[in-house]
Parts: sequence; structure tokens; C-alpha cells
Amino acid sequence: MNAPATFCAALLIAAAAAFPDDPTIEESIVARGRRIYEKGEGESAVTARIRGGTDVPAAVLPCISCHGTDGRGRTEGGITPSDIRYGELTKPYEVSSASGRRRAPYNDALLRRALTMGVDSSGHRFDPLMPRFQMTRSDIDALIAYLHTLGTGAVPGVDEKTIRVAMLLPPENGDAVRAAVSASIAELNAEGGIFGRSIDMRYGSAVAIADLIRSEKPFAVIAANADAADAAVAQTTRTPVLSLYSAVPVTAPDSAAFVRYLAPGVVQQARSLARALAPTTSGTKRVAIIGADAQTEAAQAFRDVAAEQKIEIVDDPDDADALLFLRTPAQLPAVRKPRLLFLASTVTRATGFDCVIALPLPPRTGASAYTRLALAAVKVVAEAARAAGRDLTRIAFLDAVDQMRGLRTGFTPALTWSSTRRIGWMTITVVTLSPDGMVVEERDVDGD
Amino acid sequence: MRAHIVPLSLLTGLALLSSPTHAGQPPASVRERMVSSGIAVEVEMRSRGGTGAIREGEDVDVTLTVTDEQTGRPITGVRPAVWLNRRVAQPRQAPSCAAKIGEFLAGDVFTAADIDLNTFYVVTMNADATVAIADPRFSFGGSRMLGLVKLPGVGYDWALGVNETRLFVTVPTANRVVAIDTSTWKVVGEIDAGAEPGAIAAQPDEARLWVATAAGVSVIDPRRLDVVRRFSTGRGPHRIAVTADNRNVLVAGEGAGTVSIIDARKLRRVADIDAGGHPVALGYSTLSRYAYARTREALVVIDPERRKIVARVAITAGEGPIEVSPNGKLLLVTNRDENVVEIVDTTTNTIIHRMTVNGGPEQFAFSDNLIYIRQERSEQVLMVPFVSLGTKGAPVNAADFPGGERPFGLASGRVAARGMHPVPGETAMLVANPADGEIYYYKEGMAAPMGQFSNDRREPLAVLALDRSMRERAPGRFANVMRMPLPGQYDVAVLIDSPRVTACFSMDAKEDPVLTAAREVGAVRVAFQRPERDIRTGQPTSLRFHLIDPKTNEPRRGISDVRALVYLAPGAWHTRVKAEPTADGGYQIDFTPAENGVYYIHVESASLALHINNPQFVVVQAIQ
Repeated sequence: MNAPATFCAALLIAAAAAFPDDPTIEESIVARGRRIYEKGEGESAVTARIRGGTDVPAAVLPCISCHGTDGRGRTEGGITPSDIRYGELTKPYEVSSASGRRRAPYNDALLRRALTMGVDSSGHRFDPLMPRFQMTRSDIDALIAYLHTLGTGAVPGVDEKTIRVAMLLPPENGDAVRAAVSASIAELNAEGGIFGRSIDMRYGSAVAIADLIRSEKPFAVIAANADAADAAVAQTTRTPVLSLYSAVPVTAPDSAAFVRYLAPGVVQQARSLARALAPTTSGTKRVAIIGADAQTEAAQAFRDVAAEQKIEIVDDPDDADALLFLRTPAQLPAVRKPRLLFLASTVTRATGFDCVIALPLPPRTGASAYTRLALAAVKVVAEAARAAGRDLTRIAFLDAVDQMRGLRTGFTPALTWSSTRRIGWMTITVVTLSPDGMVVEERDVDGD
Repeated sequence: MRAHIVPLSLLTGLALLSSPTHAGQPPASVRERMVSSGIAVEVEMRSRGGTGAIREGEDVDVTLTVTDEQTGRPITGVRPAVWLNRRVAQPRQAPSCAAKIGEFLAGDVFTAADIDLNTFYVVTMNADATVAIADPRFSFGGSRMLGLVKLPGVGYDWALGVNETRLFVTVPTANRVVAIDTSTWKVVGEIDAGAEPGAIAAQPDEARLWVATAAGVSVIDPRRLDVVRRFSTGRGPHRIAVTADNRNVLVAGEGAGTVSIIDARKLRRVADIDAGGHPVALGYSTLSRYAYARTREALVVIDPERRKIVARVAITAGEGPIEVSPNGKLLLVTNRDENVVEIVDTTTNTIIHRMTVNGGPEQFAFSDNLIYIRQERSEQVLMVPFVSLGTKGAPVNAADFPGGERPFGLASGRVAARGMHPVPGETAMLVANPADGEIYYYKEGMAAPMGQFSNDRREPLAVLALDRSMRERAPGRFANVMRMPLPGQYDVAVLIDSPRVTACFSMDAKEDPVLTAAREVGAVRVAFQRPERDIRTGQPTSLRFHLIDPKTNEPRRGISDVRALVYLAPGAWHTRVKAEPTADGGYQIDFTPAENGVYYIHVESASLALHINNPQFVVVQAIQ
């Protein structure tokens, strides 16, 4: 799938060399318009006059913040900005808004008036939430040139026949994960794919997510572990990233606009451990935390829930009924026999102690955790692409993910995302092992 | 006008910020602003009439703006309720606003509001060439007929337009499309769209209506009520589908064996696609953005943008309509010959379920959770949960309920408009049973319909539930249109449930001299007042009412021959009592119910030509 893109790029360079002016000028007007649309930055200063007559730099309120990447204007916080795709604005007949107000078709002159004077094509004043913009004629022409192209561009990684997805394999068992995913994709494609498109899965191992996106130009990425830097890459490249697991998922909706996690992280694991230790049932009254500095978020989450449970946090391990390990212990204590508490990432072997472990994914024999997570992620991609429809865009895809409520994958707990929830499930499986490594108890505890 | 807020005794922190008081002529708009627990509610009633006043018989825009008082940001997703009641006489003791709203919510015969902006109307297309409109009042038993529109022939299909303010009905035998105003229920236009207008569809942006005709398709401007363009697409009958982006209209011609594509912006026919058979049905999925033409043996999948066939899905040979689920995921293909419904996944264009429907699948309707299937040779309605569908080959389990007593196929004619319609804002379905002459109200999860009303002995071929509640038209801005039925002073009650805000005020509707002159001088109206306390068996009971002059809308005072007949259903006991005038210009009767039961009370007055068998009566229940 790389060939056509490379070919096009080569053609462009050739054209630019042959005609040094024309194509690049045309390109630069649209690119300038895009910068105004997305960042509020023109060649000259662009200001937005907001309700009440205050002027602010347009960078604070760029068009994209309300009208979206594709110009369709998604409803957010109850506000539905207009669909400003050029084809919608210029429909050759009068249209009515939801409020019943009617307006004539726009042309470029009416668009300039609308943006600068705050009135629509029929002279009605806009909703006060829409600012009036002040900018130079050259900038507004660039912005309108960009509006002509908005929402009409091809979606990266999608063509008539395929949806290209890239998978960043986990460091361990990568081959097994790849084999399982390939089989699952083959089956999905054999059943007819999604609106006539098959999924073209590309794989990467031990590469940076930015490099994978650059080389494969995928529609979306499935990553074994996406950290905060990867979430930032997703954001800047506007590439949806499904992360199978992350110790500390980025959950702030603004910084994680393009990343969604399947399994819960260490914060949820720590909370569930504290809940599982309710003194009335476990007899645990004092806990010492080993390695709190290694995972401060998890330590704090444990402390918060422990306080609610009337569990005391003590400094001296010898005073404790239980030890919580937030760092993989080099050597286990030998003096007494307290219970040992582990997060998924810190337990390595049978301990010879009573031991309680928080697992983000219920243990099952057979396929490895990453294989199961990867197969679940494939199912999420397929379901979201189906729900987004044939008119697939990245925004519609992420919206569809956020609409999932209790999606059953057959490999993981049911998955639920929303506009404020970035992690697919919040239930932690808390497993209690006897000193000889036998499972004494396994139960699900809320980690939210 | 007098615009004041009735004391809101049961509410805390509700402050009136502005209360305009005007003298003389009612203004063209009334505006009230209330603030309660940080929520600001602004109510505006604005006349569309242009006469400079709110008058009877004119459309009034009702707008409710709900904002956060501190930030001014709109508050969305609330469900405001608004009632208006015309004041018959000054109440001796004004009930509190909360009490008034409580009565409206309880909704009984004494408190049914004159204007209820929170309800839905049931519209039926009938075999006697009428469209009837009723306030169903399922919870009260019975219904209230609001309007009856005579069509030039029996209707065939219908579509709402112009923000649901107009209902367009095709009448093939009269070669007309009839436009009905949904607030006055009067015909506002009859459009000659071509011979035998059949199926009708509105563009999603409501800018235009497309009507199938004998020759092809015609385009109607729903506001100007004229024909914009006519297309001949070959031999019909024709079926229509409009794409979600309003760009293309597909017209399947059964006789011609083609599917034509019309560019809806340029109003130009851009393609004629050979369907490879006779397309008897046409559907469109907003999800796959494909159109589906059904021939006898195949489902022809068409990409309207590329103007070509992208797939051909083999189906069990037979006849019958097809329907796409509202979410666009599933395509339901009926086969009347084989009594099956084949369910196609539009993602993969494959048949994922095959379901036997013994009574002959005839029509579909959809709620959020269920697919409803009406049967030709049975009165049973089948229900299939969406969640049970999707896994290829899995058996389909259907539940059922009786949608009346007679099979649905006993209708005197078959129309394109549907005989089932979901109830707005509820998990409930309206089911028209033509042979029964009844509309049934079915609530999901129940074994049988919870309510029904007789369609006035008319045979309902199709049914529609028209939402009459406040709609959120912009963030935090809720709108509706109403029409004051009579001049006078109205009490307005507003309720927002969560966060709870209630407010009451009053407004005036001016008399329209033309309407007054033209108003039919009918019978005197009996306006009963709610009894002040529960009616107890064996205890003296008073019931008050006013007699309203139909011409002046004022109470007729001091009539000496007013009497009432009180009888216990089914007629075991009765008494005739004389009505005594009251200080407020009304009348009072006193009686003592002899035993527990339901009592009917009829009022008569020879001098007012109010006969004992007049249809105005109340029913009260006496208990120990």
C-alpha cells in the first residue's frame, strides 16, 4: 500500500521541479488556510471577538475546536456547531437549521461576511457562541480556500478496498500474538470484511510508534503498551491508537483524545487490592508499602482507598500484616510470614508466602494475556469501523469506540468507553495464592 | 396584559427577575424569566401573526431557554413540560403552582389542560378517505378527537415536513398530494404532482419532498407547495430512497426494471441502472450508504455516489417489501410467498438470519430495542430484540403480543404508510388494526396492549404518533408551537424535572373578531371544577361547574332551570338535582352517593338548549 503514496510524492517533487511556482503556491494557500482553521494562526494576527465584545487571539478559539477536523461540527456539551463543509454551505436551495431558521446558499463573499460580521447568508445574526473574526483579506481568502477542501480529503489508511491498521507487537511472545491476530483478520476478511473493505494489518516490533505511523501510514494503530509520549504522538498525527495495556494510562480527555486503553493500569490495580483487603474479611490492619517511590500514583491510590477501609499504612515492614510491593522485590523478607501484595507487573514467581495479586485481565490457561488483548483489540477495531459506517473517518471511528457499552469480545471483560472514560474495563481480578502457589481465591474487585 | 407569577409557595429560592406589566392590548410576545437554584429559565411566547398581539387562532412560538445563571451557559438535555389552561372564572383560592403542576401531571378529567405541550397525538389514515387526529389519553381511557381532514380519496403514503408542521398525504385516485397543517389540522394545499402519486419521502434536510408518480418522480417544495421538477423514469410502480447527505435520490421502476439516480442538487437524472429484474422494493442504509433494490431473486446493492452496482445478494425467491433498521445495520427482506424474513448484515452484505413468520410478514416498525413485525394472516405482532441478532446463523427468538382481535390483512386496502409507529419518548408502540377499527398502545415488556381507542369506527390503514412535546432546537433552547383555542386569560405552568424548577404565570389571548363572527354558535359548554375533596359514599357531596357561552366565552350566570342527572353506572340508581348559582357566576349541585361506584353527572338546561343527552358529562368515583 505504500507504493502509490511514494509514487505520488515523487510525482509532486517532479512537478515542483518542472513548474517551480504554480502547484506549490496553490498548495500553500490551502496549507495557510488550514493553519488558520486548526491553529488560528494567519500570516497576520487573527483575532476572535467573543460574546460581550472581548477580543482574544484566534489561537484560543480556532475553528477546529468547535467545527472539528472534518468540519461537520460534532455535538459537544450540548452544542451543535454548524456543518461547515463547503458542499453543505453551498447547497443550491434554502435550508433550515434545527431552530427552524432558514438561510440562502453561501458563496465566498457571503462566507467572508459571515466570518467577519457574524451574520449568516440571509443576514441572521449567529449564535453568540460563534465569534467574529478579524483578519486580513489574504488570510480570509486562504481560510476559505481551505474550507473548499475541508472534509473532502481522503482518510489516511482507507481506500475503497482496504482499511490499513498497524500493530505494535509486545516485546514478549510477539510472534504468537502476530499469528493469532493474522488468523483472526483472515477470518474477518473472508466473511466479507467491513462494507466491502478488508483489513490490511501491518506489524511492527521494537519500533517507536511514530516510526510505525510514518512507515505504514495506517488508519489506526493497535499498540501493546502506549505510554504518555505515544499518546502525544497519536494526538499530533491524529491517529487513533488502541493500547492493550499501560501501567499508567493517560486518561485526561484532552491529552488522550486519540488513545484508548483496553486493560486498567496500576492505579486501578492498587485500588482493588486495598478494597480486597477489607480488615473484616482479611484480618489485615497494617500494610507497609515497598517501593512507593517507584509508582507514586499507585501508592497514592492504595493509600486513599486503604484510609477508607481503616487500614493503617506503616513504615516498618516488621509492624505490618501485609507488604505491598510496588517494585519487583530482589529478595523476599524471611523473618515473618505476612501476606505479600503484588500488582500484576511486580510478581515474578512463586513466593513461598500467602500472596495476593491484582491482575488487570482474569487469568486463563491457553493464550497469553497479550494474545487475548490483541484479539479483543481486533474486535474493537472491527466493531468501531462497522458502527462508523462506510463513510469512515478517524473522528467517526473514535466516536464509535466511545459509544461502546459492554462490548463482549470473548477474550476479555466487557468493554465500555465514553467521552470521559479512556479505559475499557475497571474490574481487577484479585487472586489469592497459598505459599505453594495454589489459587485459594479469585474474585473481581472494582478498581475505579 | 397581566403577567404575574403566582406565588410559588412550595418552591425555594425562585425569584422573579423581570415581570413586565403592560396595560391594554396584549403584546405580540410575553417573556418571563425565573431563577431557581442557579438555573435561569426564560419563557417566551411570541405571536407569528404579525397583528401586534397574541390572539386566538394564531400560531404562537413557545420558547424556553434554560441557562446556568452564573455563567450564562446553556443547560441541555432537560425535559421541560408546559401546560396552559384557560381560566373560566377567577378561582376563589388560587392553587399553588406546584399543586397545579401536580394536577396536570396526574392528568384526570378535571385537569386536562386546554393546551398540553408535552404529549403526542395519534394521526390515522383511514379507509373512508380521512385523516383523523386524536389526543389518545390512553391513561384516561378513551380519546379526544382533535381534527378530521377529508381527503379527495383514500391516502396511500405520508411524510412530515417543515419541522413537522405539515403532513403531506398522497392520494393516488385523485392525483393529488394533500398538505395538512399539523397545528390547525386544515388542508393548506393540494398539489398536482402528476398522475397516481404513491410513495413519498422527505429529504433529511427537509428542503424537498420526493413523490413517486405513474411516470417517475416529482419534486415538491414543502413550503411553497409547488412542484419544482418532474422526472420520467420509465414504467412503475416507483419506489424512492433519498441518501443521507441529500445529494442523490434513487427511483426504482418496477416495470422498467431500472433504478434511476437523480442528482438532488442539480435536479438532473445522472444514471439509469439495470436492476437485472423488476425492483419491487427499495431501501437505503445510512450506515453503509448503499441503496438496496429488491427483485424477485436478488438484492441489488447500489453505491449512489459511484452510480453502480457493488454487490448482488441472492435471496429466497419471492415477493414482499424490504426495510432497513434505523441504525442502518440490518436489512429486513420479507418473503410473503415463503413466509420468511431474511435479515441481511449491511456491513458484509450477507444473510445472517432466516426467520419463519407463519402469518405472512407484512410490515416492520422499530423501537430502540426491538423489531416489530406485523403479520398478514394473524393478529399477533412479533418482536425480535436487536441484541439477539448479529451472530450468523443463530436462531431468532421472537416474542409476541395480540395487536387486536382480527388479522391485519383484513384491511380494505393496502397502503405504503405504516400501521405501526413508536411512541415518542416511551418504549411503546402504536399498532393500528384496520379490521378492529382500533389503535392499540403496547408498552414493551407487557403481555398485551395497555390501552386502546376506537378510531371513531373508522378503519385505520396507517398510524403516526406526532410528538407535541418541547424540542431542544439549540443548546438549552426548547421550542414548540401552539394555538390558543379561544380568547381569554390563560394560566401557564412550566416544569423542569431535573434540576427541579417550576413556574407559573398568566397571559392573555386576544379575541379575533373574524373568528368570533365565524365561530359556530354551538352548545353551551359545561366546565366542571374538580371536587374539593374525595367523594365519599354516604356523605353529602358538592360539584361545581360553569356554563360557558360559546359566542362570548363568558360564563352564563343566574340561569334558573339548570339541573343535573346523577346516576350510578350501569344505571342502578339515579337522582335529579337542581343546580344553585354560586358567587363566581357558576353553579353547584349537591347530592349524596348512595353506594360505592362510578357516577355519571349530566347537566341540563332547557333555556340554554342543553339537553340531558348532551355529550358533556363527568364521571366521578365514590368510595367508602
